[in-house]
Amino acid sequence: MTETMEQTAPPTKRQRQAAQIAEAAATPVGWMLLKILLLGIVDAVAVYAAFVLFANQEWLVLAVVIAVTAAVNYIYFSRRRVPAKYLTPGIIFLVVFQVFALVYTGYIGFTNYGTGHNGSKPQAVSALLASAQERVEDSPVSPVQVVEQAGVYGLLVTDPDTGDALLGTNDEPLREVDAQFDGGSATATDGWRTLPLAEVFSLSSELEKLSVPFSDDPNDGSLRTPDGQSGYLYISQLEYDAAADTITDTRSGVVYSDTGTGAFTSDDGEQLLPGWQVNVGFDNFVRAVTDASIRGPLISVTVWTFVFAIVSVASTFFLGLLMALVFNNTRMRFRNTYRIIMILPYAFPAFLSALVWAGMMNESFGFINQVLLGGAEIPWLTDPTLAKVSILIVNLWLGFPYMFLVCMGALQGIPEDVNEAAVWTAPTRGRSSGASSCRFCW
Amino acid sequence: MKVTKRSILAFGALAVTSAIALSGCASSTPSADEDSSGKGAAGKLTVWLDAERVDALKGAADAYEEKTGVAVDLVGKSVDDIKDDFIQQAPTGKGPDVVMGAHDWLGELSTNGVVAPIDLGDSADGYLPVATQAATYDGTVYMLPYAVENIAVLRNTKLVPEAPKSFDDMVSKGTFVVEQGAEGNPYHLYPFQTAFGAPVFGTDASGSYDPADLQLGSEGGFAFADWLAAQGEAGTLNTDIDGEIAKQQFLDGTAAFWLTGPWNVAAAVDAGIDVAIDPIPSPTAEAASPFAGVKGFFVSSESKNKVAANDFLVNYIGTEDVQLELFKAGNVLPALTAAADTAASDPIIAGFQTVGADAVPMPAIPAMGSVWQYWGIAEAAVINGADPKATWQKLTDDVSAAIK
Repeated sequence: MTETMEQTAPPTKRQRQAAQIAEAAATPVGWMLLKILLLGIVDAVAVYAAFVLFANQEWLVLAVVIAVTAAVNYIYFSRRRVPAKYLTPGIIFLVVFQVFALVYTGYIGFTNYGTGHNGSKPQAVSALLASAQERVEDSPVSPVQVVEQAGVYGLLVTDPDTGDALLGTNDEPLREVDAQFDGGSATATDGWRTLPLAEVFSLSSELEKLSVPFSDDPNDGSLRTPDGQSGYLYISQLEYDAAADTITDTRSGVVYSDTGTGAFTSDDGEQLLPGWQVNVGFDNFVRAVTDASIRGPLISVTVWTFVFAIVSVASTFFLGLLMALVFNNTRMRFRNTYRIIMILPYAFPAFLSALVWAGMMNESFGFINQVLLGGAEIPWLTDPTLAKVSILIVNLWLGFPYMFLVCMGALQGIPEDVNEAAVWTAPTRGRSSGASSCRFCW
Repeated sequence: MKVTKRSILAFGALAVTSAIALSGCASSTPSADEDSSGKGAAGKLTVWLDAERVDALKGAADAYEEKTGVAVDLVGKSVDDIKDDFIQQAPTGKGPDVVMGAHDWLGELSTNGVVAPIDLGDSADGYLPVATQAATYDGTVYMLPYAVENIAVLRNTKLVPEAPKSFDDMVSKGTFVVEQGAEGNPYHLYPFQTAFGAPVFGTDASGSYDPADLQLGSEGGFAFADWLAAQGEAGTLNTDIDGEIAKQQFLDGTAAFWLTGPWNVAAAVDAGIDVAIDPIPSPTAEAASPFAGVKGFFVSSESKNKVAANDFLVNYIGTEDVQLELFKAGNVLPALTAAADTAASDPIIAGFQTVGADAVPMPAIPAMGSVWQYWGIAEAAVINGADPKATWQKLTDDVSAAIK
């Protein structure tokens, strides 16, 4: 159909439309249904994802999901976007798996992400406060029961010394109450509902905030129950002032404030860790070039990376080419057997080969020194220079079969008569046939 | 026509993979939600642990669910990934509630704010002192210990029937191997270093390591460096002997003494060698104290189920039965004293326990990372004939510069 049209004059707009309708009509119904079904699946997943994202208030991701779904629907329902139909899946995967990872990695480079700056600021504050709880020395462990009254949680504590029942909440210090006892520990008191352990476990976040003052004097500490069953007396060493955004060390009185460096910092520059993640601009990059202890290794590693890349590509290519030329000679017997042997290093898993080579290159026990070199003590892997040479050798061994295959394919693409011509002209120029074939494969 | 067919195929691939990707992010979000609302059942505890210990904990997990209604989901992970995965995932709220690990992670975990303190309460007295010491970081307990690990000398009793009295005595009686490698192995050489009175860090009044007090460069450190050089020259220590070679030499009877940990005992016993566990012979008059590595469980600071997590650890994992189950899975001395005593009916475990009495916890402070970075390489250089004084001085300088 298209062929006949190409032979005639360029089609007019009407003709093109007519052709499209004809083509669409020619599409089997089955394919059309499959297309609708697959698009339906994509849309169903996208709608589900949109609901979840909406519920979690992830607006940016939600917008991206909607936009991409709309674009996909448009592209595949449209009759015109034929190139886009080919490119869309690839582009989506490229963005998700490559571009996003690259951009995100680049972004991390501009933050202080690392040990001590791992999470967000609220996480850092709660972690600091949690670890600042210090057990009051020689304080006893008391059995506790979590109780509730009108949404307020309290601790029903049994004094381990006297056996008395005490009750307190976040706002009210412990006071003595009448209670029912079971096996020496108070289990219930009037007006308060005793919570079963299973319910206590489900109230984890409430219990973390539950800290009952022991008395009116804050220095006596307060009672907390990490496991919902035993109470321990703690004194907090740090106090967070949410309004001023500062943390105060209650012992030394030092005030730590948020100075924008990603951690609470005192006036002396002392930091409380954990801190949190902040943007630091080009600091990391500046440090990489100004700090001598980083700059030196950075430069030498970069240089070595390039040396390694160039030398290993060049060495594997030329060895592979040489081998391909040698084994391309039709007069050789068992040519294919040799070729198969040549490719073997490529067939072994690389990590296996690397392990075997590491063993062979061991200075005192390795095969190379012990057997091949008759007990020599060459530090193949421990001398800084020789180790680099060893890596290049091993990489040559691992890499040349690939180049061998590539060159062999190229050589076999050269027509026989060209080869013959090269052989005929070669002697007059004093060159071998190998060298001139080499030119062809360039 | 062809166009339509191909585009449908490509489109199908797109549909399938995007469905997977989207359902991946979709399914993980509501599960975090479930935890926070915590309605219905009493919740769920997700525990990350070494894949080889999942079975050992299964009984305790089931018993716990039966009693409290809290399901315990044991997720086996590769030991090499647990720490980094945990540090990265805890702040996102997608990490586990409880994670199994080693005490020397504590500095990093605590500095990153990903672990919550736990209170051992009165049960603290029931653990081996070295275990509680190791579980404490900066005055706060963060870990429920379950095993204590240290190295000792394995002796082939057929070759050498009597335990050696000193290092020189040992070397004269038979070949001694210890795992080294091109970058050295300071963990295995540390007993000898302590014998020269040069711990890495000094300790403060409370017994915690003090990063400001670097003892590496003390007089004892230089004496140790000289000793290393002498041993390297004599061939007693050899950086070409890595873990595999050391093992092979002991298993085929070439070496009579092998300085290693409990993890290698099974291999030696399986090879039919009659093994005795000896204290580490000291090259000086002082005791040679190896590092103790304490294994345990941490509670995530981002866990929504901290109360249940604390209860599960302190009141279940901290019992003799569970500690013995874990012991059976790993053959490492339990941290709970009662369980340790039961386990020590095995002479090999008892041997390690005796050596462990001298052991010191591996420092968990983050400054230790800087030490590991330079330490082994310097030791390997000295063993291979570098000038001990200059190399050790450079090690001390590098470490102090890195700690600052």
